[in-house]
Amino acid sequence: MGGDGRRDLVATGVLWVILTALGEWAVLGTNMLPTLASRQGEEVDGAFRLLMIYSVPVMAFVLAVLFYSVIRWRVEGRPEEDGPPLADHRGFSRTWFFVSVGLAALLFIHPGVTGLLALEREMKEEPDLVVELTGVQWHWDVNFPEHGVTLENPPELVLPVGSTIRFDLTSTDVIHAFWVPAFRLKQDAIPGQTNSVTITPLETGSYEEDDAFRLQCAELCGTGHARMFLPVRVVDQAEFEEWLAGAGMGPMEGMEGMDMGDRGDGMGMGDEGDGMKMGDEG
Amino acid sequence: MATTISGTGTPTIGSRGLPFAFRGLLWGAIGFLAGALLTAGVRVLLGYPAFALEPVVVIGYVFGLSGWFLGVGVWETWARGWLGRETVAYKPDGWRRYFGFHQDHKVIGIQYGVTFIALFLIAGLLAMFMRAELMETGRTIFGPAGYNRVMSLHGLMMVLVAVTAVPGAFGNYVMPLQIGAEDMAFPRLNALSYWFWPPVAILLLASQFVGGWDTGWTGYVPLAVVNRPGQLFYALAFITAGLSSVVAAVNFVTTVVKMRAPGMTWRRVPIFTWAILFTGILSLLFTQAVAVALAMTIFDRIVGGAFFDPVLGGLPVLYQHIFWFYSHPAVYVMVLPSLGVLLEILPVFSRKPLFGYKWAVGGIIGISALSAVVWAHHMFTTDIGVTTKIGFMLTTEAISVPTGLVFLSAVGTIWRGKLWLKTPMLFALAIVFNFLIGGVTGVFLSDVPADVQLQDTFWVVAHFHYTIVGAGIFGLFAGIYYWFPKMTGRMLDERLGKIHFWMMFLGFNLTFLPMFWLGLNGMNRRIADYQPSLEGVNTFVSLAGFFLGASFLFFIWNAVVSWRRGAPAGDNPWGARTLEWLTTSPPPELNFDGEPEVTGDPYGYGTDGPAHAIVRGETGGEG
Repeated sequence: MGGDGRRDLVATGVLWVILTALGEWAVLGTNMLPTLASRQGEEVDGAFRLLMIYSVPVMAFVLAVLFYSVIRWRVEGRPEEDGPPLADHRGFSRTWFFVSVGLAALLFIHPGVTGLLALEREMKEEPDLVVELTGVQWHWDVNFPEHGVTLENPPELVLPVGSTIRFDLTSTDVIHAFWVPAFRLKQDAIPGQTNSVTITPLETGSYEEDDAFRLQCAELCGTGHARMFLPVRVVDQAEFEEWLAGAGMGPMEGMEGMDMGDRGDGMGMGDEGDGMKMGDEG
Repeated sequence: MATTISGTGTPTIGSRGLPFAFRGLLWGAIGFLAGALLTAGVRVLLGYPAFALEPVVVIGYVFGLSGWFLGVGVWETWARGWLGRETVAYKPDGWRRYFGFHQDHKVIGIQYGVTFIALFLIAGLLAMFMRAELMETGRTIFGPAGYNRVMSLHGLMMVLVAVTAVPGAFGNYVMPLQIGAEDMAFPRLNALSYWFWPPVAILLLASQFVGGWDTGWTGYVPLAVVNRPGQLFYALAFITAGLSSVVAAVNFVTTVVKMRAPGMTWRRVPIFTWAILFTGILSLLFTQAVAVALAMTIFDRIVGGAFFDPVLGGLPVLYQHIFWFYSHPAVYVMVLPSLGVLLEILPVFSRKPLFGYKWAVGGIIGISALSAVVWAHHMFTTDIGVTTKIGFMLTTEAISVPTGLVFLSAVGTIWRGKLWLKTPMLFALAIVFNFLIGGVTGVFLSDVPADVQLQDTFWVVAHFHYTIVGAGIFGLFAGIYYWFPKMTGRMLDERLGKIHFWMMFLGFNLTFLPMFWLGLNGMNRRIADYQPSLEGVNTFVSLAGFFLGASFLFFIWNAVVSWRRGAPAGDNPWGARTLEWLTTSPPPELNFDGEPEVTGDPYGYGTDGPAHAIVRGETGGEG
């Protein structure tokens, strides 16, 4: 039994190495993430990539045992005899336990705590610009308090590249959430409180070119949730100021044409927006 | 009520006339009307308009639920005793036994199994509609309002199925057999726990006549306070389901602790029974929290409770804390029983002892203990503070250790075994594969820096379907293929079973694996429409989803035909050692023809040790 077992161990080990190598090659060689356009997002992507790298050998180990066992020890028809009475293996089980404790501790410390603390430091950074965002069923109201510019349900949100921007988030009705996929960070906008998230856009870009540039509501907020997004355009400082000056003149008033229901494609949100309507078959 | 004599010679009721379930509906309707009129009367006395939908529904429901229970059989079998009068048993023959307050755990197990397979198929059909809407961008079949309603109903129904199906069907049917008991500790409570479910189904149906609800299964406030009245039905249904869970859990825990056959020391308890014990403990400790959160929502809706209204000093985030205090342990309620099924099946079809029995039990206990302190990982984006985040990240990542012990036991058991790849074994091996993906992708969500991108995206949708379907529901089907012969006396068809398995396994993975990519690439969850750049992958996912859905047609066909005409199973078709296989299929009324006595290890395959158990004084069947 012993010699036979050793050969199986070696074969499974080889399979594990092969699966790990293939997995790491796939993880390192492909970019699964959308455009990254913020400094803070580098922390997020770093954590994600590291976790992918860690998880490959773990998954490969279980899969190697699973695949090898099924191929090697599958029996046609009802087994006529039992397998070896291997009820436990103290060394293997203990190793498994301590390795899993070690891995969990490692991941908790890095990228967990280190990444979290780095993000917290970023969040406390002194902003160059403050933007107040208010979630309303189902659009975003934007206020630039330092410029005295208030935009109700604007058609787009323009932000300056390279500036550190603090978004102060709240809501007038239900919980919404701030999420720009290209910036990575997500933060809830909750009625009765103001949550902040600080972001430094590093790349210019716009929703028209890349849908990762959009302020998407990421907390279910009712009928219009799916299309409660605000196109984001990141531009250079001069263009931003120009836009802000134009926007401050107040041409945004009366732009109902850009309301959610109309930006959509006839999904009929206007008719179904009445949350208390009874017997509405949607 | 007619007292007639059934085949067993004991006085019984329910053998003729209107089936008790229908009488329950009638009495329930009368109760509802009484409650509604009472509410209207009190409102008039207090100077309000007589009719207001939500208060009338709440009070009417409380009265209706009482009428329902009395009508379904509680009156004759139980309540008359409270008045000092004689009670009688509900033990009709044939199909009627399933339509009243029957107290045999085997009847209740089948009631649960059939009911929850039906609910699973209905909720699965809703998922097909969701995927049809998401086939293309824009409005496809019902647009955003309809989508949110269907998505919410799918979510709640599937959560209830996942929480209940395996413990309801197999915890009830198999666990008492596995420990050599005649029945559950509290047969009346057992029947009570099942008969909570038809009112839940009626509430979910009724909710759709007042516009449904659109908060998903989580019912976050303030949305759940300001939306349509369907939300109230959601809350009542969820609370009712919770009551059923608590009642069942008392029974499971008491039964495992007190009713084990002589000789069944804790070291000889089968692993599935361990899983049911800790599932019961989790339900018992935490279910009340979700009832609290939902009751507060109801107060906010109907009497201006303002628990969650920030204008009046309430706190919306409070709801999430209370809700997840139950609902995270609940995800282990969904998964632990199926992990028990997994570890029960692997030794039988590997012909080897369960590897690392102590480690596996330790894993189940560790998961249960840690599940109490991980809830706020659902709330990393609500501004809960850096210390809290670190704490919950620690506990959440720590839970990977006891979960890993289940994998240790699984891979150790198949290693060098004689693998007999019958359908139950295929489902069990698929759980190892699926739950591995589900578990590893969960680690990403426990990591705060990664979670702030992944939360509320399709990454989460994929992750929890890999755990709850990939382990929980695959475990349900593993259990069905494994224990169906015991429950019906007939084998399921192996060929149809394998077709079902391969379609379900491939369909499941092709549906949910691409969702990780969708989540990473900006597809947030619970949306009726998405960015055009995601359309191709969504179309693929929808087609794979339809393929997955079609796999269940083979299962339904197999189950219906095999129940009537399948090959006779015999007592022990799989050559297993645990006690449920030492009696006839299906077992007699008191489970064993003799006195079960436990004499050894439940999984001593390949050893010279004593049999797990013997049945003394047996009159029939194999030894």
